[in-house]
Amino acid sequence: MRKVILLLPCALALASLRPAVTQAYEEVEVTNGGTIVKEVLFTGQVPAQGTLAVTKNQESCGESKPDESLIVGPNKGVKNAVVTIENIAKGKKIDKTATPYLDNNGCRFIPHVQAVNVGAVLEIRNSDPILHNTHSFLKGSTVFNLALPLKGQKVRKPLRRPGLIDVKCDAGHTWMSAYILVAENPYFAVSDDAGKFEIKDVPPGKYKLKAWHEKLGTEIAEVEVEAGKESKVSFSSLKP
Amino acid sequence: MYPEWLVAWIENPKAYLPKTRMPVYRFSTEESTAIAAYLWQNSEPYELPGEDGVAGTAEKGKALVESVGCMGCHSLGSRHAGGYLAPMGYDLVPKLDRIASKTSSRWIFNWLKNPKGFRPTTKMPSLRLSEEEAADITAYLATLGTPKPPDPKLREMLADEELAKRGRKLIFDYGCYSCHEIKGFEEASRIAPPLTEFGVKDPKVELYFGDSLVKGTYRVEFGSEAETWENWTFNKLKDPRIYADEVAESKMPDFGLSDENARALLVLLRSFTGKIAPEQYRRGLSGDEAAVEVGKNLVRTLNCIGCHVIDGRGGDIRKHYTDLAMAPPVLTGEGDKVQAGWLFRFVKKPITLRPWLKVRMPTFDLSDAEATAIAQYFNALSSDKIPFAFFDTEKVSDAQKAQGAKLFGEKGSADYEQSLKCDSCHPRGSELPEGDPANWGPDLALARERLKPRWIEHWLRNPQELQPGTRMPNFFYDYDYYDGKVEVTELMEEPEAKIAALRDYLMTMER
Repeated sequence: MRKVILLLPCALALASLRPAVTQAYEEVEVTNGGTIVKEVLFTGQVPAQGTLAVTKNQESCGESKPDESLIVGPNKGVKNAVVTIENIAKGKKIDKTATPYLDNNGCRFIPHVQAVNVGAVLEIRNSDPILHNTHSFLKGSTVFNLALPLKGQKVRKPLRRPGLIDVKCDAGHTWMSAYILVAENPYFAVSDDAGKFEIKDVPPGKYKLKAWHEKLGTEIAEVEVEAGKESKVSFSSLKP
Repeated sequence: MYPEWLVAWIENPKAYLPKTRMPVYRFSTEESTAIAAYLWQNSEPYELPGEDGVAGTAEKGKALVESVGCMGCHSLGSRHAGGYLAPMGYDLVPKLDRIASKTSSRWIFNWLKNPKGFRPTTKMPSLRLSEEEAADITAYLATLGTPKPPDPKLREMLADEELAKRGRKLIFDYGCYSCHEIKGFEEASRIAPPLTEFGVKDPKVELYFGDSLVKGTYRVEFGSEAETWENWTFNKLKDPRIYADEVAESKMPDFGLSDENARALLVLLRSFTGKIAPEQYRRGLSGDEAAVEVGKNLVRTLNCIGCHVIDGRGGDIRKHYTDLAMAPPVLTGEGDKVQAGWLFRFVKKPITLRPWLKVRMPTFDLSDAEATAIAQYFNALSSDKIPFAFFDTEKVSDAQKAQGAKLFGEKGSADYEQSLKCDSCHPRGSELPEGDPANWGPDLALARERLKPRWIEHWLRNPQELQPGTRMPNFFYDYDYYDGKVEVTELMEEPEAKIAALRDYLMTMER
């Protein structure tokens, strides 16, 4: 595919699309850092996982899809919570080899929740033989809105602004949703099926650790990291 | 309206609507009652048609008020509508917070159904509400405010002919008819002195200061000298009765002007010197500029800009939306987009173009002249300033049409999987997409009569640039904005040939 770089025709009209000025993150060598581990837990009666009705393209999508907005594992571990260290000024290098993707697959977004760093190039894929229309938003404004009419189509899109992006499919697939946290520092994790997470190579110090979940809300915990040691943090009272 | 409300309104309009343009005349309750009596006895009877009709649900009415478009013009609670007066601190139309204290549900229902039926000159448009919708909105508005209990004594006074005579004198003296149409005052002339040469009045001779300077409220805003034209005017605007005494009567009402508004008016008044440069020394407006002026005035007073961004301004209703795809469309560049004849017909009689919107384009019952002025306005703002766009359908080859149709996609056809599947969201006349119409795009069978071919190309290249937040995705190019630059990447082979084929297909589509 050809690429053309143009000067912005109307800088004013597009000012809102420019990256916001953000606090710089400084990459340094971290030796003998600590690790923050443990889990995000659900409190109370665990609701049964629901399903979402498919209202269009049933021949490709099926009749229903699992509701991924709240997945609680056997030990009440909450899947797909994003755990981040807030306002860490310097630390380990950002992984520039990461190849994040967002696959329109079986009329679901895979993965449903992910975290990447600013500057990562997201590969948006279509694995279905129907039109998908991947529309992403940051605080209500469109980040990108791309058509994927062809099966096997792939579009690469750099994520240049930090923040929590929510993704919808505007091809009438109203049940589809995904979240992408675009982080400024590399200290993030998405909780697994058992609600577990792990953040490695953290320089010793005191931090604010934040857990976010699309349905449960957020919780902030204070954590002290010591060199070469594990600090355990259990989140169990996320609030909207 | 309730007579108890009317008397209170005349006495102090700002108590009911703090941001109304109606000024305060400082009438006593007795004077207000006299004016109300005259109005009461000289109102034309208006028979509210029909029975009370269907009972509405307030909850549904609230949802309608918040979604159907009322908020484009009316403020309610903490939701502030915009409009061109908003920056000056005035509401263009009444805030709805206490509407039930003013008038009855039956009147509101009837008004909502047909505003021009009651008052042909009103700017309130019709939202084409069904009986049920109007009843729901009425039920909701009826919960906003409480009427004062009926005052039998007041109602008796309103029938008093002697009192009405006093009211008539007050209306005459204070010139209420300068702004309002009042029966019996059709021929009356303005009461206040002309301002044509106000800017050159000599403060020492022509402006009367009375004992204002010793009142303590007199403000020396400009310079150190109190008795100047600027200081006289500023104080007059801020407190119109400040110079009144036994010698000089003063009738000018209090507009509640902010310092900023008073200063702005003062600058305007200073320019009223009675001298106007002869015609040949004035620049005048070109045809396009004149069309822009007329149109700008119309879109302001009809408050099109309450909902739409036009020429980069307005669209205040957008702040109420978290999903901008659900907001009224941006109309900056509309003259480049649509054919003038179509726009003329549309503003005369709007149709549903975007089935996913809850907000409705109202019917304004525009005259042909007004609708023409709006079409001319958008054309004058367009880049090529040509209202029409001829497209020679005969020059499009069958092969090109077939290529466009193939790209557009028709479900069930052999090569559907290779198509762009436009049919997935866009109706073509009677051929409809799957799913909820709320998630469809506009009917493309309308494109041929509605859109300019060049605009179709522009739109297909980058819809987000023309309509930020639109659900229409980028098919052909990705635009990546960073560091003041834009990087454009082709998303498929031969994008321009595909765009041209789709344009030709749409412009030749048989209805």
